[in-house]
Amino acid sequence: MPPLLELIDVTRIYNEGSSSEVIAVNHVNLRIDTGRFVILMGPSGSGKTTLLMLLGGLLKPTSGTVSLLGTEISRLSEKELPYVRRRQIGFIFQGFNLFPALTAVENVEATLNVKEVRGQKAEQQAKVLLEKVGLTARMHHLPEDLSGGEKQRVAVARALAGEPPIILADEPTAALDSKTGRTIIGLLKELSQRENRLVFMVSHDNRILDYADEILYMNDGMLLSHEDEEASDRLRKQIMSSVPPPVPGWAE
Amino acid sequence: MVSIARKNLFRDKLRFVIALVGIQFAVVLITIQAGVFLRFLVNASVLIDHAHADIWITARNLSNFEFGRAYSDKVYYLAQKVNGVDWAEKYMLTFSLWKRPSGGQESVELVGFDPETMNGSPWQVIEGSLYDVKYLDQVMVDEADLARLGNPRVGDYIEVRGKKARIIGLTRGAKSFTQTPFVFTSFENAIRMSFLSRGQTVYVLVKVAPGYTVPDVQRRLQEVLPDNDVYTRQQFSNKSRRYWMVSTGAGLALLASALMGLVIGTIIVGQTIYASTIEHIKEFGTLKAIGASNADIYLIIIKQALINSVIGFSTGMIIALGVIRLMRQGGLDVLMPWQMMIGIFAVTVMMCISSSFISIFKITRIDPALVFKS
Ligand SMILES: Nc1ncnc2c1ncn2[C@@H]1O[C@H](COP(=O)(O)OP(=O)(O)OP(=O)(O)O)[C@@H](O)[C@H]1O
Ligand SMILES: [Mg+2]
Repeated sequence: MPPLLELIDVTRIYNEGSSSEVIAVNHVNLRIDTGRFVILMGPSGSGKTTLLMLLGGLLKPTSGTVSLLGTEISRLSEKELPYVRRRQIGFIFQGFNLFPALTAVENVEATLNVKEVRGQKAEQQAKVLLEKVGLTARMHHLPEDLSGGEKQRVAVARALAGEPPIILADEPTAALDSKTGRTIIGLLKELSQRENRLVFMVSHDNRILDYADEILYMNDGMLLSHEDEEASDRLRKQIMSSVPPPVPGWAE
Repeated sequence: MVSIARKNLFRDKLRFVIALVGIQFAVVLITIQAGVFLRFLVNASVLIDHAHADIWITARNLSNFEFGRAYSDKVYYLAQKVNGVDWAEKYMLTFSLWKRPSGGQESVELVGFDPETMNGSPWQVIEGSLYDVKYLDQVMVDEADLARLGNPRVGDYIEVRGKKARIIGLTRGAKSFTQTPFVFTSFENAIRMSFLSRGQTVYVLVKVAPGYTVPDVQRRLQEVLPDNDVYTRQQFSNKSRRYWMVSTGAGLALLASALMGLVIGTIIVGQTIYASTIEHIKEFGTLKAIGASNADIYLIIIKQALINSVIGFSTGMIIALGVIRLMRQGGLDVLMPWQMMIGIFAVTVMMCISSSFISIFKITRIDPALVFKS
């Protein structure tokens, strides 16, 4: 059985060859199996989001291979990739990214539609998912009428739509207060582990680390290996001491 | 299915309204220009199309129906003898001068037909009896031209090229392309009121006898009459239309303003659809991350364009029909057949879809990183 996700010697360079060249991900090797709850940490600009996009098939590596259940997705064409994302991956974003014109239930339903679940069936499944995240009462509200925590609950329901084996999340708690953040992550962990899904989450938020089965550290495009205890420790201390969590900026 | 297209469209109300106004503007402009164009086109050959002749014999190299030149009526006698000719008739259309009751002159087009057969006569009479034009110096005019003719009443005496004549009735819808008033009378009367002399005619109308084909008789007539042109009704009708629409540039001018409506409409709709695409770009990026293909997203944009065009067309058409009504009251008849409505609807749909092309181009180049920005 091939691993759920596998990166072999993956490098991603932005603006290759120009003076503004950035090696965002540098020779990364990684294997993750199903059912895990992995948190990826690292300072701003270390390449976490880039790595997440590579895992989700949103970005192609400059070199190396990204495989999903043995299929090399880094080789797939623009036409084939949407199919992989539809079946295998659920995304959660820091900014929620809900559709503002759609109600909570419609947001989930529209996602199911994209994932080829249609009509009555989609509506029913959307309701069940919202019930799971505890939003039944606010199902017919527009995102603008929901609190941050409620929006992220909708986003969690949306990520679970279509039962993907992999959920990728980029700083899902960064826009939430710490109590709400913990509740959401607790919910995500419970819902994913119940069905043996992999959650791969980028986070700066050291208050949720206890949920992780595995914590990975990234620095300057490189993933620190498990063996490199000393470097990992140093980085962990550095991150732990930075409370409150830094608001991640997007380095242009 | 949840329609992101529809929900997004109706959420941006102001933008939606702007797009609709753009479409309405284009629809109204195109409809009216096309309606006027069509009306002119029909007028350009209206008498030809209403005469029951299969063949028209004219002077050589006429540019169009209203600019007929006189030739000897020997042609008429020759034509009658040609094999396959059922009947032939002299027919007149020539410029003359009308003296208004209050003084002053107006140029008119005299139409002289045979009152026994009524070929080439007006087809709608609202007052008087057309048959009576066979009596000496009796004429009919169109109700729409009364003002230009100095507001005479039925029964009044007026003068045409110095000959006293009496108005015995009114026609409706008999409008020339040049807008010069038609004056209808018998061929005999017309000769006297015109600048032509006896023994001349302007046209000879021919009916083909049963058992003969029109092209056959046309060819035979042309052989016998080398100094004239011989057209089938359709040929002569087309020639007259083509002259006004193509040679004079009248068609081009109308086409240009219709095109302007189309261009402005496309720009306004394109702008609003583009602005809306930019505003929702993160949503489209999210859809892509979730697993939507580019085609799925194009479909959303095209669906928005279609909703825009259906609502924009129907409301625009209501406005256009209102304007046409006003124009008709003002004396300018505009044609609006259903085929044209369908055509304009197709143009509207095409306009809306083509104006979403820039947006579609934008979608193909969404940066996936966009969705991770907060
Ligand atoms: N599209 C791009 N073009 C050029 N450089 C980029 C692009 N995206 C990211 N980078 C650069 O690549 C590096 C890694 O960026 P990335 O966003 O992956 O970091 P990150 O760890 O997610 O940071 P943060 O914690 O601030 O979100 C940074 O130096 C960044 O400036
Ligand atoms: Mg990031």
